[in-house]
Order: sequence, then C-alpha cells, then structure tokens
Amino acid sequence: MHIGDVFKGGIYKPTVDYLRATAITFCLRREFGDDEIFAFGREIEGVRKVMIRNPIDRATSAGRISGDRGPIQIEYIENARCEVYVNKDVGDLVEVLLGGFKSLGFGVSVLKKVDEVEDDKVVGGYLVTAIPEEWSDAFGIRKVESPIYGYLFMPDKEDRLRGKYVKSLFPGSYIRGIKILLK
Amino acid sequence: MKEYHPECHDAGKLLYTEIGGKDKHWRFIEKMKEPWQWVITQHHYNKENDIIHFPSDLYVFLASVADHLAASTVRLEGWSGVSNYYTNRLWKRDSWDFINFTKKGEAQKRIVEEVRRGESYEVFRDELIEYFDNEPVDFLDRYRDLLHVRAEDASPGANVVSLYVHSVVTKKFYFLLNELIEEDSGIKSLIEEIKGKIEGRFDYEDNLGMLKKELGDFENKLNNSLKVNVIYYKLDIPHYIFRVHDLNLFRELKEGIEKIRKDYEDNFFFFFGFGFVVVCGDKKKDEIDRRLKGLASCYRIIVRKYAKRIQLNELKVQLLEILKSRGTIEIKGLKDKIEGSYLCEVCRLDRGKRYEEDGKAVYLCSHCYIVRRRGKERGGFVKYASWEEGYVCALGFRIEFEEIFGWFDELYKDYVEQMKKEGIITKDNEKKELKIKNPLALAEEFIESFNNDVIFKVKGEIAKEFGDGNFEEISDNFLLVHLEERGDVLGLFDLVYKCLKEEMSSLFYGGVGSPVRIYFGVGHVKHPFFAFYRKFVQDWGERKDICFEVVGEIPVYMSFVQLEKVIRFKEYIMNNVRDARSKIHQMLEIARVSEALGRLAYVKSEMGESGGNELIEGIGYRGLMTLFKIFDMYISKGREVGERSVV
Repeated sequence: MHIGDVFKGGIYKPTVDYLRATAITFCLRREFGDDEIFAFGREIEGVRKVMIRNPIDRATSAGRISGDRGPIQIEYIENARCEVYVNKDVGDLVEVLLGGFKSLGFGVSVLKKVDEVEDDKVVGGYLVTAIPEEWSDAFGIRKVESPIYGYLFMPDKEDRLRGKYVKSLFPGSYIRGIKILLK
Repeated sequence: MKEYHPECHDAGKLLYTEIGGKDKHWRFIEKMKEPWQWVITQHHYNKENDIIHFPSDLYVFLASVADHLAASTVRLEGWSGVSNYYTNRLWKRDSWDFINFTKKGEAQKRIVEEVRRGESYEVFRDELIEYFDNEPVDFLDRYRDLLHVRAEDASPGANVVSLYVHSVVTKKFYFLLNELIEEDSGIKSLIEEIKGKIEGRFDYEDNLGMLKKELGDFENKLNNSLKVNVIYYKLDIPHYIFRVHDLNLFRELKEGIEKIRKDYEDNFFFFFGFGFVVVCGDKKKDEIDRRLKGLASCYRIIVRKYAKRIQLNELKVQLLEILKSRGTIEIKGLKDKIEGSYLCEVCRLDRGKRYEEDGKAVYLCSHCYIVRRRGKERGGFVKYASWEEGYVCALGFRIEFEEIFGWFDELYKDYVEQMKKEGIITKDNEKKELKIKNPLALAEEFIESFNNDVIFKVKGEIAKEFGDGNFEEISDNFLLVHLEERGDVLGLFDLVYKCLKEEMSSLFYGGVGSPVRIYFGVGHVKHPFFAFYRKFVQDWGERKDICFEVVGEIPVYMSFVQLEKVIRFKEYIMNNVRDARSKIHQMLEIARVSEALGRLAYVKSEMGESGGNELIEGIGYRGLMTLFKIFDMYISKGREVGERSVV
C-alpha cells in the first residue's frame, strides 16, 4: 500500500501511515456510485519498506538514470492492515484499489466487514486520520480545539483527475468528537 | 535597578569561611557604597543578626526575593550529615564526588585552587574583592568555571545545582519581579509599605526577629499577589524540505528566535532546539506572541503554545502541569480551498506558482520561494550540497521537557541512597517524600549541560573522526554526517555513546525513563531531508530513547541501556569477526526467504548467548535483523581494508 504524501518531481515518494478520509471515501463512492458514502481509516499497520523503481524512457526504451527523472524510491507498507469505518453498509467483502502506484501492483485491498458500531458519545482527543474540514459534521466532529491543518485533494465529480485542494484537519489535531476518530 | 547586579548576590560563596568567620560575605562589609555591594551583603538578611545586613532599599529586597524563588530548595528539614561544596550533577552519576570537597573552610579553597590552576587562593580572594569596586558587568563570564563547580547549596544532599545556574536564574527572577511590579497597579500600596518598612528598619535594631518576620510576610504577600504568564512554545517545521537551499528556513528561523530571545533574555528558560519556556508579565507576553506569530506566518511553521497565568508562588508547582498540558496551535491565513493543480512543494499550505529553476519547473508559494531564493543568495550548507556519493546519517537530539522533572526525582532518590551508603547523610526525615522541590534551576542546568557537554562535544568528535567536510550542522540539535557505507553509522554509535557515558552517565542506569531522545537516520546521500526530520520530531512512544532508522528497514527503538548492549555486542563481533560474520550473513540470507526459518537460524547460530538475546529484548527479532545487516556492512568494510593492507 502506498498512500502518497505527494509532492511533484521528487525521487522519494513517502507514504503516510493512516488512511485519510478522501482516499477511502472517493474509492467507495466510485465503487458504489453513491455520493452519500463517507469513510475513513485509522492507522495503517504493517512493515514499511522502500522499493526502487527505474522509470523507462519511452523514446529510448532505456531506464532513466539521472536527476529527478532517474530511479525513484517508493515507500510502501507491506501487509497493510487498517481499521476502516464506513457510514453505509457496503457489504461483507469488497475489493478495492487504494492509494498510489496501482500500475505497479500496489493498493489491492479487501474490505471485510467486522462489525457495526454505534458511537455517538462525544469525547476529547487527538484525531487519528485526515478529514476535510467541510466534512466535519458528517464525521461527528463537534468542536476543533487545536487544529493541525493541511490540504487534501478533492476530485471534481465530472472529471476526477481535476479538482481542488481543501483545508483539512490532520492527525494530531485536538478535537471533540466520536471516539473512533481519536487516537 | 539594573546596576544592582543580583547575579552577584552569592559572590561571597566563592570565598571560604575562615575559622572565626572573617571571610565570606563579611569581606564586603567595608565596601557597602554601591548597589551591587548592598546586594551581596544584604540579600541574606534572614540569616543575620546585625541591622547592617538588612536591605537598604526595595531593589535589594527584591534581589533577596528572587534568590528565594530561584533556590532549588532540595534541602530537607530534619536532615543532618556532611556538607559538600562540589556540584554533583544528578545526570553525571559516575562523576559524583562525596569525599574531596566536604571540609568546611577548606573545600572552597580547594575548589578555587583546582579550577584556577597554579593561582593561590589568597591572590584570587583579593582579586575578587577588588573586582567589586567597579560595576561587575561581566561577573558570570569572568568567574564562570568557578561558579560551575561550586554548589549553590552545600548542605547535606542539596549540592545538585551549581552556583552559576542559580545566579543566572536569580537574575532572571529579579528582573521578572521588577517587570511584574511595574505592570501591576494593584500592588502599589504593598510596595509603598515595603519601602516604608525598609526605610524605618533602624527602629527594629533591638528586635531584628520582628523585622525578619515582617519582611518575610511582605515577601509572601508579594509572591501571592503577583501574577505571571508561563508559556511553553514549541515550534514545528512541517515542510517537505528536499533541496539544500530550503534548509535556509532552519537558519532564518533560528535567527528570528535568537533575536526575540536577545530582546527578552531574562524571560527565556529551557531553551533547546525550537522549544522554550517564557515567564513574563502581560505586556511582554503580547509582544513575544506577536513576534512569534509573525515568524509563524512568514515561514508557515506550526507554533504550539502551552500557556497559563498563575500566581508567582505557584510557579514551582504548576510548571510541570503547564508543560504537560494540551496546548493550542495557531495557524493563520490558510485558505479554505486552493484551486489549481499544484500545492507548494515545500510547505503544502498554499498554491504552488510555477517557477523555472535550472530549466525545470518548480511549484512554490511566495513564502517558500523567497526562503529558497535567500538561501541561494546567502549560500551555506555547501558541504551537504557537495556530497554526491555514499550515505548520510541524520543525527538529532531532543529533550522532552515534560519528562525532565520526573527523571530528576528518580535520580535524586538514587543520589540520596548513594549518600546514605557512603555515610554522608546520617539522619533523614523518612516521612518526607524525596522530590526536587524547585526543579527550574536544575532543568536549566541540565539543558546547558546537554548542550555544552554532550552536543558540543559530539560535534567536535565527529569533525575530528569523520572529517570536517563530512559534517554539516543544520540546527543546534540536528546534524548530518556523510558516511561512505551504511555500516559506518556504528562508528557514530560509538562516538555518541562515549560522549554520553562520560558526560551523562546516569542515562545508562536502567529502570528510569529519561527525557533525552536521540535519532540516527541513515539513507542515501540524496534521500530527502524531510524524511529524516519528520521521523526525528515524531513521538516514538514510551521508553524509546533512541530511534535508529535505516531507509527501507524497520526502525529500531531502544533505551540507553540497550545502546550499551549494542556497543558490547559490536565489540564481541569485532573480536570474533570470522565466525560472527559467516553466521550473521547466513542468518540474513535465510531470513530473506522466511522469517520463521530465519528465527531458527538465529537460535542455531548461538548468537543469542553471545549477546543477541539481550538485544532482542525490547527491539524484537526484526529490529535485531536490521542491526545485523548494519553489523554485516560494518564488518565487510573492515575486512576489505584488512585484505588490502595484507596485499
């Protein structure tokens, strides 16, 4: 699994160790065609490794060797396991493709339904994942007391390769919300 | 009030008390013409029986109050035993001296003669007394070495803070008191009362006990009335720095903080890395806040703030609570949405505009672009930029402020135990809980010691062993070292271990969680800087003092006790290179195919009995394999050198 902490042009592609809400939500929305789905994942467990990949120059069919266009290092999590919470029933077993470098075989995942939880008790604690601020209500975040902000990519409905970056709450933000969102 | 120089108040402690009591503070009695001379002779009025030792004015009284606030107050009622004039720093367990500086009258003389090699005590004494004829503007620098050795308090069990740090902290409290009094209009009548009492002190010549009590009551009233802001600031750099010129951010940020610190020097405590504690009144709080917000918005850094307004006399009790509190984070000026395809490559908190750089397109926000451009103009970090081949080890040092106090208490318990064993404490009060009552000065001293004795020394040793060209200082507590091979990091382990063992030996006594964190991150020389720095600032979890990370391998977390075991194991391997190498190599090859088989191979190799089993506790099998890979690389390099030398 590679959940990219994307920046352009770098030779090192780091992965984050939590499943941000946008990644899993849009994946499931595409799968089920349902825009009412909201989901997030907690910490991703597994072994962090680095794979070195040398992109091929199509013009010469040779591996690129220098500069930013040379070999890239892809950080990934082997045997990734993550607790995912979804607001709708999406079945007992769903196969999805998550994260980056899917063409290299990364991200083949199985969502297995374990249980249904009802969590409406609001407590204070540190957020465990990344959630767009505009989705706060849908995720049961009542109050943000000490935010750590960043930006998440939100694709357009019509063309999912285009979109905008939205201000989001990142792990470590102190919030009052339902327990499953907290570390 | 600046001319009072409260930092000199204990200058008399540098002299020794001759039998008959002619030395120490009495030496200054004939010189009571200048404010600093009053402070020296009158700050300890509550121990004296002559009106001449009572404060001449308000500022001398405030110097005395500051002295009490700064006192480490570890002395415990009901204790008796042997005094010790030498500062036994709690974190230097192997250097504790219980014998050589205990003789009243002689110990200070011995300290002077040992520190000022070759100079007689009498010469020093006359020089010191003469020094105070003029304003003592450089007292702390001039007598730094001596003040560092002499304990603030020589009573049994209390010699754990140096006179140097005590003097510095007293000075800070003195200016803080002045600042708070100036700000607080509600305290004016109390101040007038104190002034009146001091002016009429000669009326009490026959009843000094009453005067002491009344001045003591005023001191309590003052400490109960004055309110102070205690703010713990922690600055985080969340940037994705991967170009050398972007490291300019560290340099500019450090300069920005240094400027603020210089302007408010007496309000800054616990300064380490990008964290510090500010103790001040409301006006300065607003000013410092405003300036830090300016830095935050200019560099898009995260400022974590843990603040509370408390009564001055609560400072000792509340400090730890404030350090452990949740705190707030303020980030201003972020947009709700950013249209466009690119975020800034460095901060990722704004839209990235396209710039051309060496023929390539880069996407940066205006803030990061300016920092990078200034970085190019100013140059710097040239050594790091010049490393083309090989590996780099990022070496970082952190202090967890919130864990310092608990650690001190544990070390102090151990210290008292040792003193009892040595017969130094002959009677104690068993009912009293052994705790450092005012750890502020002690923490200040620890941070200074960690900076000067450990980090400074490590830097010097690295430059010496690895070559100055292979060592780059990114910030005071974060360094990069150029390595030929990844295995060379074991040489760095040795070096850091040696410095810690010499200067902070208490870290290696098990069972006590320390506040020190050390990060070793090893990767290719072109590995992005941010990947190391991000891991360095993360919370690694409890009792994980050291994080050793090799890119692409599982990070190994260990305690200082385990670091010592790694060093011992390395020594074992180097003494049995041939045998150990083949076993390690075989084990790693098997582990590549199957972890279960690898574990079996490990058992069969008998490396466990040779130290492996001790290592596996805490770091686990996978962590051990990471270490074995590094050992393998280390030995390989050594072997090649050996073969070459044979040829």
